[in-house]
Amino acid sequence: MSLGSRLGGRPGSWGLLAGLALIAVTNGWVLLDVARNRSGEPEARVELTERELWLPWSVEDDDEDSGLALTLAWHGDDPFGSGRPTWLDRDKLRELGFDVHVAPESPGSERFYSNVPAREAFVVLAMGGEAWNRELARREEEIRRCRQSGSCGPSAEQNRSVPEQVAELRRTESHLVAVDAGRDPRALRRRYPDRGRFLVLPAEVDVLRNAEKEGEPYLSGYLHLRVPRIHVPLPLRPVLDAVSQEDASRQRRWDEKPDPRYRAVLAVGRGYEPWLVRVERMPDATPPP
Amino acid sequence: MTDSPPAPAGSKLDAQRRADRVAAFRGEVAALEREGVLALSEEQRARVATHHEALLRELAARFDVDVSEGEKQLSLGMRIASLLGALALAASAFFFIRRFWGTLSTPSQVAILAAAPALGLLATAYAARKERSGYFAALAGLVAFACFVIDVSLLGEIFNRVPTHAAWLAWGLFGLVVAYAWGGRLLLAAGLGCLAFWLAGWLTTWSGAVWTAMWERPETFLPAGLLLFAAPLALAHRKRDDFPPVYRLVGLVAVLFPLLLLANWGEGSYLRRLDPDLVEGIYQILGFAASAAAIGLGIRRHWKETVNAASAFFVAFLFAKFVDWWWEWMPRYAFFLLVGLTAVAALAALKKLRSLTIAAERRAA
Repeated sequence: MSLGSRLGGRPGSWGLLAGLALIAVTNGWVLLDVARNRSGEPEARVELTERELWLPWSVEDDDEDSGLALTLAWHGDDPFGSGRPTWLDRDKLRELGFDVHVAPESPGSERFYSNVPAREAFVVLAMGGEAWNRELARREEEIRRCRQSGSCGPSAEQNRSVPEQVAELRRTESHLVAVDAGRDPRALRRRYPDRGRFLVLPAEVDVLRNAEKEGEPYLSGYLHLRVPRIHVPLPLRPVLDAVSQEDASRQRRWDEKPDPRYRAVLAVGRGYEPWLVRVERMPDATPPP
Repeated sequence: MTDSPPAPAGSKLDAQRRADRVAAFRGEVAALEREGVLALSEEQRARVATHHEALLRELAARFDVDVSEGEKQLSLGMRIASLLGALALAASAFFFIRRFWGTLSTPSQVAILAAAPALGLLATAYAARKERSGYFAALAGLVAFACFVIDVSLLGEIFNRVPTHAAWLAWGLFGLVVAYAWGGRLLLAAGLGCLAFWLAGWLTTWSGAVWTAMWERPETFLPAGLLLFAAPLALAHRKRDDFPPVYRLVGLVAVLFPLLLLANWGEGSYLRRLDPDLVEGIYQILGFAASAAAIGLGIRRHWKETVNAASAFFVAFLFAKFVDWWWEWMPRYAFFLLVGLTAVAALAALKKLRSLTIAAERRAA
């Protein structure tokens, strides 16, 4: 008897059993994998703040969605986009498995590098430290250049001194900076052994051929985290719900960046999947009157 | 000769075909009698009528077939209502879960997510037992499928999991299980589509790319399309003889749609060493050839859905080519006139093909 007729032969009982088994196996598989990821000592455990874990703007308005997820905010060191760190160059792209044998300045390279499928990789995000200081210095330099050239335009920023602006960046901008990427997460961990400061997370990398940089076309990459939003389980919500309520009651503007009001511990497991361990209000962050 | 009806055919589709033949036979006999060609005796008429009544009762009892035109129209309405109901119930389940999601602990979330498709399955089994037409079972089956999709997607969200193409495999298998157990061509199509996505995603990862890049390389869908199109040749469907056309249709779309894309977007091909214009030319030829071959095969094998789908794609290839050649430089009225004239020529060609086919069938008969 053929498979088709066997399958079609006795509707009902076998279908119910097979369907229930499929549901059980799929859910069981996911839960086992989650348990495996979270078992033992976490691969990394880093304390972050509101600067690095953003609340969604719409949380207080959306009656249809009662769930809550925080967006992981990070940057590279490229002024043209936070997902395009300067170290993600042609050599690094080759190391990540891209075919970059065509020189970016050669004829036909534009077509060659257009529409290249993204590849899997792991990115290292450093919390604070040297990478953040470099990022801050770069931003300070940008502010100074902008003021000297007068290209910033009239704005409230102009009324404040450079140190004031830099101090605000330090208080409100994410201190997470992408410092490296690779195909082997264990090798990356050996290179960045501090599990309390460096996160190794799954990412996707796109290759970009940039038309001009000091006259020469060049290759760069664009990084996306594969898990860009972190779900908040119910026991960790009270602090975040209170902060959301505060924002809603004083109608916080979307571009307003407050001083961090909460901090959170983000863990990453053996399967390089993150989860929130703890969320608490910052000791010196009192609710506004 | 006995008055008891012969054993009806094995599937609902067979049963419906038999009921249709009975209705057509009755109409034709009445017409022949009116025209004086045939005169049945009262005894013959009564015997045929008794036989047909018993047969139709048997078919209606076993397969809930439509025995009149009115019933057929009602059935179509029920199919549409069943589909709309399934979509609405699936949306309701999704929004219900989202609305109360944040107020639940993680174990409750997991339990609700797993319970929803399980309850959907139980409802499908119950509906299939209580109501033979299968409309309620089809509706419940689609809701169960949607709940399973929500289950796997939201589990991934609450545990911050990296999205994987394996989810498409689970969804595809679930769609197939429900479709084969209780019927439902739409569910079968959804399941087969999911399996095609899974296979395309898996093949994409072979090249080192992220599985989601399958959308950027349409060629990755071709193996799945060919496999699905050929599957009914290996899998006999004696009880579900309305399923092979679904396989062929999904397979054909999975082959011809990527070819249509590549015929107009050479940059999306794996053939990166070739000039995109050349790649487009290759896929245009392949697209025309594949559509024409599918039309020919469909006519020969009497696969109506294959002929229809392949004809639609053939026209799409032709139209795309016309746009490519003439849209830029031709006045719009001339362009559409040319498209219209081509359609008239195509009609004439198809009419000729039809008469040739009929003549060949008559000769064979």
